[in-house]
Amino acid sequence: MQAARRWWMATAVLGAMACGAVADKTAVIAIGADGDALIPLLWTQTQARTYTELMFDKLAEIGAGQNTLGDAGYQPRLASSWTWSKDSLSIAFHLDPRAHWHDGRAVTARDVRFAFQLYSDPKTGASGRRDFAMAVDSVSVGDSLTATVWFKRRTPEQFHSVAYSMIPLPEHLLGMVPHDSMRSSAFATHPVGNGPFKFGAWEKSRSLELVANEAYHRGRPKLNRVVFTIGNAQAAVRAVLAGDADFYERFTLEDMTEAARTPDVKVMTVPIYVYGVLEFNMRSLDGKAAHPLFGDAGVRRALTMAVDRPSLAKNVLDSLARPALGPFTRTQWTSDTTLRQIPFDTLAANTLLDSLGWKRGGGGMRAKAGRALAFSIVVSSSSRPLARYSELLQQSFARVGAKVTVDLGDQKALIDHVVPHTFDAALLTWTASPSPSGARELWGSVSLAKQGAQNAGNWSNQTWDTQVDSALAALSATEVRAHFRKAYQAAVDDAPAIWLYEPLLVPAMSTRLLTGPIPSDAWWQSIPSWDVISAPKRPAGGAPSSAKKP
Amino acid sequence: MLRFAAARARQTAIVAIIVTSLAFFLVHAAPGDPFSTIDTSVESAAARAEMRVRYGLDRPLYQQYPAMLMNFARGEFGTSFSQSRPVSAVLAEVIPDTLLLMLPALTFGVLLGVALGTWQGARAGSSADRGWSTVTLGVLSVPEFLIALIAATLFAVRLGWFPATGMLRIGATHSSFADLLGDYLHHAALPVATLTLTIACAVARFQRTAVIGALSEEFVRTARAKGATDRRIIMTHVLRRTAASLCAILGLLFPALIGGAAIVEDVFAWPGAGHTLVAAVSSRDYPLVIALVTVGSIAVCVGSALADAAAAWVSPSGAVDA
Repeated sequence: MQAARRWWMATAVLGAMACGAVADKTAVIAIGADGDALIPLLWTQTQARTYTELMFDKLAEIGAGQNTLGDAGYQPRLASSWTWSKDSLSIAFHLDPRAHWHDGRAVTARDVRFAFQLYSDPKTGASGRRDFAMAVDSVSVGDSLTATVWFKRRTPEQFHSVAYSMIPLPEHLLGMVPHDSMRSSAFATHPVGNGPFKFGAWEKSRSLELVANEAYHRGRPKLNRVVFTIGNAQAAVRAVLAGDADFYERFTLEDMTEAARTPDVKVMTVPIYVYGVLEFNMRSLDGKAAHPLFGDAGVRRALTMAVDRPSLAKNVLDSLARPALGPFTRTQWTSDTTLRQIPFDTLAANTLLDSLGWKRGGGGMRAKAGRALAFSIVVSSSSRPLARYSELLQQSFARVGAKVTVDLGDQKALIDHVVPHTFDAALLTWTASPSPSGARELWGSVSLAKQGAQNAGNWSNQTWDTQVDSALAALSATEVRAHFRKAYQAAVDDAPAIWLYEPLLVPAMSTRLLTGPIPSDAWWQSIPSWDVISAPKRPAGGAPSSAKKP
Repeated sequence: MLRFAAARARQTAIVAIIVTSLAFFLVHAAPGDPFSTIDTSVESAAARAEMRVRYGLDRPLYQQYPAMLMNFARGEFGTSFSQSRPVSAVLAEVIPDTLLLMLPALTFGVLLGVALGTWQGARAGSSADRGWSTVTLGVLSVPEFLIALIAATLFAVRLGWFPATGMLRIGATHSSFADLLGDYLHHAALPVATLTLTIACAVARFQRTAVIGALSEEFVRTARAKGATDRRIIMTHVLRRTAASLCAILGLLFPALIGGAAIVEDVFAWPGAGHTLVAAVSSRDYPLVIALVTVGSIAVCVGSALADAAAAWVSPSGAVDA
């Protein structure tokens, strides 16, 4: 009897300890850099997007299927329901009456209209405004909980362009702030949102803390606090491995080996919307003439044939990447894995270059009319995979008589080449989104003659342009897919780039953290459903506050 | 002494102007724009242009440079591009954190180095001396970042004895000063140990040589003849004799210490000036980079001056060379 009582007491004590240990429910997330502004429409860095999307809800959230066509794949967020007009030129969003700003004021239709005014004013400098402005004409307020969005025309992704791209903002707090001063306003550093987490504290370049919104209209998140610890990528990896942090979204192949030795850490792989390419510049460096090498589709195709893309992907990223198939990712619903690819064939590449008049000379390098088949590849040293790719591509091209120099610089130096189009070829990674519409500007003639990374290689292809435009105007998924298939095939055939790889995201986390599936488009979106099941290795402490120094 | 201080202040001012100017032109010569991003929409381009105007980057360098020097002379370092707040506020935050790393490391490093070097010098040529000489040389020949990485991997990741990153538990509230101090000491252990190790090894090598030299001097023979014990000779005479050269060496070590601290801060994500400088360089945060480099150079000058003053103070001749 006494023994049983001891057992019961021991169990109770252990249970109480366990309950106490997880009572805090803080998740520490390591990130590689800090964000800029905490207002949704102003972020230019992914980190700021991460912070803001946990504090601000969209009208509706894309579903697990990541389908951007129509509204079938969307789940209610701020809007509890929506009604289409008969001609589909307007959608009335019915706001959830339980939705409130973190200062206690109700979210109203005026906040939706106010957000539209901000997004559509060029003075605000809103990120990603272009798609939105192209689609939406105006927003009108019916009753306090009904905002009607009026569209300029019917498009298959018109719902997506509002629900995904426009985040309602509090008119009562921002209405008096001049639109061109949003970034420097107090709100940009101490925002008041309406999402599952409230702003806690922000020590710039050190940490950002969010606390659970007890009154969140869709139910309080399971975590009490989320603390982002800001460092560099290597420090973030070590923080997770040592138990200082619970989560880091981007482990590398080498880090995975280390994680396998650490029993408290688990990793998963997530397909994402990123693809890596070697982009050719079709114009000369001064932009006045066709590029002496890459103005010729034959040269581009021959160089593509010289590259064994599956082997390179395996060599650089092992199982963490697949060869890319074109200007899209497999995660996009318009992707097509049956496209006819330019095959790896060194013999055919050599034959093609011979037929184009590029003859081998001294040292096996080719030349034509006194012009060597030589070019440079610009690449960012901050991406180890791309730096490795540059070496392997150099070797691949040397086998067909092309001399390549690698111009390695940091990210800012790379942008300095890409934005003014002053490069021969550039190793780049592009981040797509669930919507395939971004490809129109990223690869289309619409971006020609503009400063910017969009269509950095100045590629122009009529088939691509017309098929993408047709796809974006089509109303059925079948039609959209058919047009995109033709556009993608044109891109593969014309080879404005060598489609190198699609990486997998490798989030690593403490075994005490329950995350469920990680969304492909934004890993942070599942944080409100995360939970912790045991005490951290190094407890973060109690109530939210800024750390004091000795 | 006043003449010495005035001369050193002049030297420091000249060095600060030269270093500030070099930093200004080097950061502007580096490729890349502080406000460039891969998001190159029309709106972003307009926002970038507006930011350049706001921070005066639209003006030619020959106008920016004197304006920057004048502002620095007034103690105005401008606004950090990446942190959107005054650079002085950033400095006020990161410099104390760097001192919390460097001062313990310097203290422990010098004490350990002097002790080891003296011990070696007293038994120069023995197998123990040769063994320790090999160890100190080995440590000094390994780059500091590698020592830091090995320490972080072994003691934080593998053994889990210490945290791998940061200065305090993330988001923690400390119940008492003792709790806060304990947390700091736990986090500081590895970075301080890394810096201490390299400082101690460098100091030990200098100290060993100085002790060997001092032990062969006349006054040691006289002290021995008077019956003084070896321990007394070293503690009373030799250490005093070597103190001046040790201070001079510390002055020379100071720049390396600041550089080493920056590397160690980056490896351990210690939120100090070095860690901030690395991030500022990669984001082309011109005002923050220039301010940190300038403050670093002033710290080196001041450190060297203090070391020289200390050397003169402990030197038997007491001469101060301005």
